Amino acid sequence: MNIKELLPIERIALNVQANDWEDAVRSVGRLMVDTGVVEEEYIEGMIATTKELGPYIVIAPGVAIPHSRPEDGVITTCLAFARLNPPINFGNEANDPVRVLFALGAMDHSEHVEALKEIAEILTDQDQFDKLLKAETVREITEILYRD
Amino acid sequence: MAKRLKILAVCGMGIGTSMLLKMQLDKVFKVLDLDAVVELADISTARGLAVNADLIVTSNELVDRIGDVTAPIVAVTNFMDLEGLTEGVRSALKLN
Repeated sequence: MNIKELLPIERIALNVQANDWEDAVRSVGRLMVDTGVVEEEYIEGMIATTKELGPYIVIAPGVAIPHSRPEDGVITTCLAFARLNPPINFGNEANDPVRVLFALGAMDHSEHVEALKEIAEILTDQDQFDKLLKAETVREITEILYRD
Repeated sequence: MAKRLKILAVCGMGIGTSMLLKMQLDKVFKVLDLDAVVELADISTARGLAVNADLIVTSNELVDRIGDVTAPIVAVTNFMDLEGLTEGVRSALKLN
């Protein structure tokens, strides 16, 4: 499934204010809980996983992909997107501060692969990434993320 | 024909980050024109699977958790930096 199928406009938030990285993960996780695609426990699962394994989810400068295991409360495979303002440090020296979060809820090892490919394409394209950081509306974000 | 290389992409759970890593590595091996198969592993199974791997690639943040293994390890900080990843792989595999 691609980004458009996994990330409806209701799970995109801009100008998210967070006190710290846990708060940021809770905010993006809340979008998933409120739209019924993960159980409440999935939010704490994402936080626990990050604490347990360290801030490896910060995969590139300014970008984190919080996620946990399918059995931690995923209802359907899904994505949520949040842009933080101001940016927040996750403790990943090379890539902090984090500006955008793509939270992932995966049911298995395959349904989200196409969407991850699209995310990687967008993030490796400096022009697209700049647009993602500067977009002023959620609609503009979808114009960048939905590849059709 | 040279033997097919076995590459292990390691992340915390084997779902998200290693999947991204595999996608980037597939591009790298295409550029390097190498026959390689990239498998995913989570951190808990990585050390066992590492025995049969020619190369291990993981996040810089996870490298200490893998422990001692025979295969060379590439530690990645920016998963989107294909040039850096290509250089890392090239140097770990001792390619010219």
